[in-house]
Amino acid sequence: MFYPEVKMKRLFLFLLICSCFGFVTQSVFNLPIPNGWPKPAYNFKRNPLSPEAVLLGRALFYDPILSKNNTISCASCHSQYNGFTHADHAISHGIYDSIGTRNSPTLMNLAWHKSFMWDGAINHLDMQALAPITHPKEMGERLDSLLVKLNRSKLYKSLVAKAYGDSIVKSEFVLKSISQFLLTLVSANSKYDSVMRHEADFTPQEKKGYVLFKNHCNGCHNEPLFTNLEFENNGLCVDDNLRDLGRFVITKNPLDSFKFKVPALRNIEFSFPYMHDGRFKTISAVLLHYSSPKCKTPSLSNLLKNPIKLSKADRVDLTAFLLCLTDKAFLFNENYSYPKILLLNLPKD
Amino acid sequence: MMAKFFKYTLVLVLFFIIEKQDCTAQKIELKMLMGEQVLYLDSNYKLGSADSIQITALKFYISDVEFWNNDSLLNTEKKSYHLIDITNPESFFLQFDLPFINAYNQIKFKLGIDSAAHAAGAMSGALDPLNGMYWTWQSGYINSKIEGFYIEQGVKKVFQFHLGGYQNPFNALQELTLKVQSKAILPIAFDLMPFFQLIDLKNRHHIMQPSSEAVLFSRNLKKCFTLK
Ligand code: HEC
Ligand code: HEC
Repeated sequence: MFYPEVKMKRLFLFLLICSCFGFVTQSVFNLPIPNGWPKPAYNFKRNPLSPEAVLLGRALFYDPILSKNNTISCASCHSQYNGFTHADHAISHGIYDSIGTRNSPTLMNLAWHKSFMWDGAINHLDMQALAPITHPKEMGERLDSLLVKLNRSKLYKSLVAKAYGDSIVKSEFVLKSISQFLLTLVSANSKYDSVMRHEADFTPQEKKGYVLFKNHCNGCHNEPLFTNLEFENNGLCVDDNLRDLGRFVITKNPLDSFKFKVPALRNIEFSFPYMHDGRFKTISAVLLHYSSPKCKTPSLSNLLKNPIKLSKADRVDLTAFLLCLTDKAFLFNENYSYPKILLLNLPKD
Repeated sequence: MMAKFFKYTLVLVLFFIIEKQDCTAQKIELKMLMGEQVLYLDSNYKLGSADSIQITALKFYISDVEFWNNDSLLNTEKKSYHLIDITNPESFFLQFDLPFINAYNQIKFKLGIDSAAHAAGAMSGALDPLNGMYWTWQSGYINSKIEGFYIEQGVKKVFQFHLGGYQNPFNALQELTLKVQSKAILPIAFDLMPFFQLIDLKNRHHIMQPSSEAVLFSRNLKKCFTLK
């Protein structure tokens, strides 16, 4: 048998790759890891960060081209000034004003997360974008049609050429570059962080709040990410309309019913409403929940079997501490905002 | 002058090596069957006495193919994934980056995608989510997809089996071993009939997510690989 095309193709590809090295100038960089933080879970070896790919991902994140009728972008449900969650929406709404079933979570420090979504349905950050893009109630688009649109766009062809040295927009590039942008969203410059770095001091009230937090909340919302990244049941009563079983949906293990991914509490001041269904509008409503009797289902965490004893004064102190988790440098970081490149290049076809 | 001569001979030698390798590359040819008949898309096949079925989609992954001689492993292609698609006859020829070794008497392979690849992030080629073999709302590859119509007394009903799942207890990945006679193009039959004989289409016509049934159906699908 004689099939030289195969080998020749490979040789050709090899030469092409070699020649690419000549004029694609990717400058790979490492994600800066804040002092004392654990190792990221994300495997950067398979997707080394480069400014060009981050920019491509950022453009995609802010571009409604990702939705079927070009109306909804990732940022529609994840806006920077409230920690990349859906501004003031209990349950996110998407294309054609459809209402989803869950509150959009904050997006930050995702390099440390090992699973995504409230129930951990997504096992890798690269695959996350596929869920909203193809969800009929979110962006309602098909991956193949999206790639046709992107391959028709001069902007994306040039961004992909710069980032990957390829003349074709492939799904791998789209997914990996969105990951790259998300990976750069690191929030580690709150007052809490300054105090930990001995650059600032808590007020006496914040200090009391920090002690209360360490006693009652650190078991799940542990430092420095303010989440243990596990699935827990914090005793919310199930909403009869949504009947969201949480982690059970994925594992089918009854003991996982009503467990949800522990949300990070950084920037909590701005990421209201709270919980997977956005049932609480204020931090004080959340604290009232923790100091009240819980809905007792078998999966309720041992840490919360009894109401946490929090006096009114304690709740005020705890709130003062939670506000120390606001990271203005993150919320207003220009590198995370709508990229000018999208304005310059309209229209896209 | 001498330098030029050397360059040309080098190119020639390279060419020769490339050709030489290709002459002996290992391949597998899958014969797609439904019982005694060749399997075609959208054709009618008798199932039992009165009922029949049509296949409208058939795709599955074969990975980690190994060539053995009794207890010794001769050759293997790790971390390589072949997507077989009934709409693409080229995909019935599995190409390997391996030389043909005329001594194997057994092959082992996996039906589906191993758990490491399931959680490795975005990839191109056979594992590109563009191939329609990826669950977007709950991460994971669909190891095999079988769709069609079940026709019972003239009434057409849809069936759809999307079999996958990589986490215990719903790990649907299957491992197979076949005794074979070594050949550069090894013929293997993939006959869907045993799969359909094992299930009750009237009562079970949809599997769309990881479950114990998806595992059972995947196990049944193993029986389709024979040496006919
Ligand atoms: C229609 C609103 C909407 C759009 C558009 C949207 N998201 Fe989301 N996003 C959500 C909701 C709601 C969740 C939580 C869903 C769940 O848990 O089931 C979520 C979850 C996430 C998560 C998981 C965070 C975590 O901590 O687990 C990431 C990452 C994410 N979205 C990124 C994106 C990206 C990237 C895009 C654009 C491709 C996007 N989202 C578009 C609403 C949206
Ligand atoms: C047993 C683990 C556990 C403990 C202890 C715990 N939480 Fe939570 N917390 C969770 C889980 C799980 C959620 C998400 C629940 C949901 O949406 O169904 C949550 C949600 C929250 C939210 C909403 C975050 C958002 O973005 O929606 C806040 C605020 C919060 N917790 C604060 C606290 C405070 C303050 C304490 C201590 C008084 C505390 N938690 C103790 C597990 C815990």
